[in-house]
Amino acid sequence: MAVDPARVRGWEIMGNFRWAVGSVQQGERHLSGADKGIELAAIGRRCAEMEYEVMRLIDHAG
Amino acid sequence: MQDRPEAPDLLDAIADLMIKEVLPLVQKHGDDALAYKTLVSWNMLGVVAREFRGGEDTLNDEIVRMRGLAELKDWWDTFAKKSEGSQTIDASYQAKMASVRAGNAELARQIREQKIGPDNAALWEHAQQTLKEKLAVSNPRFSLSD
Repeated sequence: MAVDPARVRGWEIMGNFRWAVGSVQQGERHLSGADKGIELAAIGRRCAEMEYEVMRLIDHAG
Repeated sequence: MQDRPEAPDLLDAIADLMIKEVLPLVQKHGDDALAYKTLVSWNMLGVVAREFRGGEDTLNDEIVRMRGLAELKDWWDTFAKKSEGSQTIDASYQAKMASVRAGNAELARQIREQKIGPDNAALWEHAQQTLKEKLAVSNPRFSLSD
């Protein structure tokens, strides 16, 4: 089966986007007081990594 | 104004203690979960120290860029009347944070309502630059290369 690079790129973008939303939700969980653990607080600050990656992937999608 | 050592210097000292003395002890004790949380804490102290050192400069840069965005022109004028100068770089750190947050909410609203399309190069560049500045604080090892 041939792999379509454009589809792969699309799913890479989707995967990063999904994890970006997840990191926001985990940060919110910390802020809400539901789980004051240090891991969730740290993950909340990682959203920018996935956002940047999404933009980089889109830039290179042509 | 407080005496030296300044806040980021104090954070560096705590971070140093954690990585050199606390972490080895926790590892020796065999508590992997606590060792992991100690490492996360050490990493977060670095984030806070970098934010202390450069946070206000990058916040000012962000405000200056936002003030140059055509999409926010009318919004800034209205916001400036309501908020009495909190959109200038002379405002307090908290006031500037609130301004940027409100400006971002306005941009998000325009994107949701499709008033801003995907072909907006100026906004794309602003968002990317803002992310670079965030990453310099939250994870300076993150690769920004193409």
